[in-house]
Amino acid sequence: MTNQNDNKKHHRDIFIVWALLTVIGVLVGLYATPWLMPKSASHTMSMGILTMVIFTVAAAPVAALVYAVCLYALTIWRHRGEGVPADGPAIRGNGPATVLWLVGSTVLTLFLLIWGLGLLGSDQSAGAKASIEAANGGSAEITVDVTAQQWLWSFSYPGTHVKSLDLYLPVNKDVEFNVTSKDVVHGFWIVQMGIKVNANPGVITTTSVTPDKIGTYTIRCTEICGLDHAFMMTKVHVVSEADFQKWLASQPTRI
Amino acid sequence: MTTTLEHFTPVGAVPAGGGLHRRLNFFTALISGGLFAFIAWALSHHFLNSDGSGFSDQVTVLASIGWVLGFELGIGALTPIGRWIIGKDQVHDDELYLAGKNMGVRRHWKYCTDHKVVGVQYIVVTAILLGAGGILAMGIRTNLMTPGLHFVNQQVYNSFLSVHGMVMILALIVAVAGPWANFVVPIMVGARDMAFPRLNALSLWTLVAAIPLLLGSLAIGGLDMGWVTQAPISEQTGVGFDLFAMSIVTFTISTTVAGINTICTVMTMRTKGMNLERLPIFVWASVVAAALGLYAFPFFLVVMSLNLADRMVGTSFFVASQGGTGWLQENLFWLMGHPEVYVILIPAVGALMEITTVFARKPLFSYRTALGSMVSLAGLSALVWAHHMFTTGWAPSLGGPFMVTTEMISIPTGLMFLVILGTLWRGNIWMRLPMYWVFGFLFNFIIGGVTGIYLSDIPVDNQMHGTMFVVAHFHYVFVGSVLFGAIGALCFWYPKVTGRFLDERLGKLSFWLVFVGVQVTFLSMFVSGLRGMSRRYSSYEMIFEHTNLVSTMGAYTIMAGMLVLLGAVITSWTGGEPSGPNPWKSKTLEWLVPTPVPLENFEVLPVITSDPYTYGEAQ
Amino acid sequence: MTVTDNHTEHQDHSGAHHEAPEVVDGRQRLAIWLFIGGDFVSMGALMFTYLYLRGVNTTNGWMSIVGMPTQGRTLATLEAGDYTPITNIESKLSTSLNWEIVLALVVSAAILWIGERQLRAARTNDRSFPFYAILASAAATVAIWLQLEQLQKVPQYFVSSNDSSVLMHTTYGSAMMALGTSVIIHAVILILLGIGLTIRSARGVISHDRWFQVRLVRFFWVWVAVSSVILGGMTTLFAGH
Repeated sequence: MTNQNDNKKHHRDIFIVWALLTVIGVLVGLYATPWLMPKSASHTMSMGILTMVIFTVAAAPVAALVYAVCLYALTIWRHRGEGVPADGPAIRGNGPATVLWLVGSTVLTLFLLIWGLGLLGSDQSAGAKASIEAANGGSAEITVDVTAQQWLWSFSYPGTHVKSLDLYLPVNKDVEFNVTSKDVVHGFWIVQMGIKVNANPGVITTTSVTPDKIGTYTIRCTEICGLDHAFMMTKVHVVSEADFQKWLASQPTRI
Repeated sequence: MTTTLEHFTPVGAVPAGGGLHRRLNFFTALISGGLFAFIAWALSHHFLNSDGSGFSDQVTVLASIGWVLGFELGIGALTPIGRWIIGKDQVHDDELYLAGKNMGVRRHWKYCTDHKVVGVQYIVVTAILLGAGGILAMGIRTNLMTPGLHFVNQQVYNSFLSVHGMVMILALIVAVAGPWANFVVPIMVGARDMAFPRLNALSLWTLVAAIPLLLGSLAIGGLDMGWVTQAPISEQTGVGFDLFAMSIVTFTISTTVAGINTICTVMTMRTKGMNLERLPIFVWASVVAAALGLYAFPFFLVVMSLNLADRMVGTSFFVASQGGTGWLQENLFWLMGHPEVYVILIPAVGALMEITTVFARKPLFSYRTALGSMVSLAGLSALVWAHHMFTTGWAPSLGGPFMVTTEMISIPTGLMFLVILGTLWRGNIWMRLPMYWVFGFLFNFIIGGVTGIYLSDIPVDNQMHGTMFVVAHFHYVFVGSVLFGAIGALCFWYPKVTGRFLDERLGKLSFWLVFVGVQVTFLSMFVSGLRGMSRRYSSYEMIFEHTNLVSTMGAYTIMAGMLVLLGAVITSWTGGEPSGPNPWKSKTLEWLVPTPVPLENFEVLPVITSDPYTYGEAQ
Repeated sequence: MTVTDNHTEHQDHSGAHHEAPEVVDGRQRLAIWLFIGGDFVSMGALMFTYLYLRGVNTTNGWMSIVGMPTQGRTLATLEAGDYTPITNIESKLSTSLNWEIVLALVVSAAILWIGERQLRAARTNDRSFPFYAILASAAATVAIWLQLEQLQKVPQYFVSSNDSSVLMHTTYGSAMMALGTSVIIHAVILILLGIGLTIRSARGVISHDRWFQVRLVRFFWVWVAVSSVILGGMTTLFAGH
């Protein structure tokens, strides 16, 4: 029957278009994604970028399938000519196709979920950690108290008497941030390190990271906090351990 | 070329009944609302110790209540309630008058119980909301065209973005459900009207009453809290917030009434033979969305009320120094906010599925999958809300479970794609105007949906939350998917409402402008976000200037496309090519009744013997 | 599909289509249940609020500085610390009138229900229903009065700075106020419904043959009573210290 041959032809042609589009999508995932993202300054960020790449590569065949069928519908199956087209075949459903789609999407979702949960569970990649963990000691080698207010960030280093509007961190040392706010909710985000946690009044939230590259990076506020929300940014300087101690020593002592 | 408005002109006398309603219309409502608002303002200003500026929180809220009550009285929406209480029910002549029999165009300015009139009124309301939100969007994008505050200052910008968000959310909640669940669904199920025609009119006019409150918030006092009204900033912010919150409280009343009406209509007014498996998929979409809204919107009512209480009466729900917490506000808000986006999405998808069957000339592919995906989407959506709170620091141990539920949602979403693609499969694709929007939706929704999955992954969300990446994601869904569904629905049902085709040339021009505009605006916005630009920023650093300029140019393109569409809608209404009652040769019931649709829809109620997707099958 | 008459309606002399009263009633019953469902969700949101604040505020905040202003002082003349602290924990709680309020609402629902049964029983010329309806409304009014009394006793405290005093409510007080306000709003709706039933039955619109609307109102009325029991139970069980 021409039906079956037609179907085989459709499957084959759509497969070719799908494969082409998938390749393009995978290339976009592999190259465009990391190129567009900030250069990583921590293991957390590197894993975050890797996750973006994997998700894009995984999404490519899905998007490609939708686009391939659409392209085919717009060209091969398109009704040309005047007037109402004749009816198409009375396909009310297709058990195998539906099952395949359901199983395929479930497998893909599970894969992304397992990757994501695994990453979440591993030490450095967790986002905002519970204050309770911090109270029990954690594994941080330094602690920095971050205070947000309208519209600036200030930092203090418990154990020293240093309070500063600048954030200096030693490279390759785990740092734990205790974040709070003096007024409204702000969002504490170190862009190149991939960590973010909100600063809430009356509460301390925590996040931690190990910076692994010397350089200067950006902190931006990510929760609308009033008039100058867009200007509430500052820099974080990651320096060698020696330079860090020098900087600490050079800061005026504030009680 | 026969047609003018001839067969839309009344051919008989206006009924004798109606009582007070004979004198009431939109203008009396405006006057009455203004009067009551002024009286409420004056009394509360006099008796309560306001801060002397004329607009303290209490005064603003009381004036808003005055406005809504006055407006409802002035349009006659409260008259049926009053008549019930005093035991003087409406007689047949009253009902005919309220249904607008033989009253022509002017019944659209009044409280009218005819679901078709309410549907047209919702089209106008949607256009107003989209227009207002669109103007605010252009204000936002114009300011962001270059770095530095060259167009508006921070305060104005923050107000623009807060109100833009809320106006557009309201617009999209009603964009498909308002016009089409009202105009089309009763006819689709074989009924003469909605279950509760007077409540139908009430829900429309209550929504109308809410709009000046929301837009007025811009005028009264600065808003700098975004549409998500996070505490504590929402408790600090200017008096405009009270109008904003009161407009939402008013809106939740409107939407609750409308949702109950839709569900009751479909569940109890189906004609003989219209069993549940023969319902058009759009009807199911309307029911599922209405039920989900009934669950979600009470949270909105509660969170806004608590916020107002903190501002007006000194309660401490969200005030940290008094033991309250902003996290409570966020939980309550997102318990509403996430199901709400599916209330917005599901009717649009239902309409697009309907369109696809007609323009591919094929049955709906796997009706049960379509229905199952909508129901499971709605059900799961109640379990994912805290994915908006991954970076707040609230309950980190709940991150994993919410990540699981959120990623699970991608499965029913994917099944919706299967249904539409399966319906296209080997169809005879008739590329008329409504179909363009289906393909545009498919292209955009993949991008919007997939980027949502990115955000559901906590390590990615730690980077992307609060950046322009999120903004681009949800605009791909709201503009690229829902709006495309709403416009497709408009193009599809336009001939049923007006008896004329929407101008195809102008329609296709608007499609290409909007489609290209969406890609330019929001792909560029993804790049801004990936590179590290935060959202809700009134200005930005130099490194983001190119992507923002490109986004703004895209936004102007979208605006051009929407203006072309508006022009097409207006000019085709009376000057378009006549279409006849069933130009698309569709099989759903609304196309089998004449155009214009008679007052009670059917001469005699039909008996149904099959579903409306019998394309390609022997009759 | 075919388009022939499905014979579910009849037309009267004026051409109006009418449906059987049972059909209309079934529709209205679904509507009331859906409305009760939405109301149930909003009660759930308020309960979530109460329990959340109770959960995070086991020591501070929930009760915070609890006191009543010293006799004779008004808000305008108050100074810092110028209140009498309450040390007795039971006095700090507002739940003292809980069960009275619940009782008033339950009694009002019972009165309505009994009245409905009276109406439906096969007794001609029974004109008692209006009295049941107005009595039920009166009981709901008592509930409002009691609720207002309870709200007066909500713990509050004063934040003073040099030149002004601001009245603030503890989170416990705030949560009680929210619940109390909700009860009052529902009771006002009940009173309006009760007045409507009274007038309608007095005029004969509601009668032994036409009682469907009474049952609809009864559904909602009983729901309000049930919800007050739930809220009363929650605020008593999780009152705090």
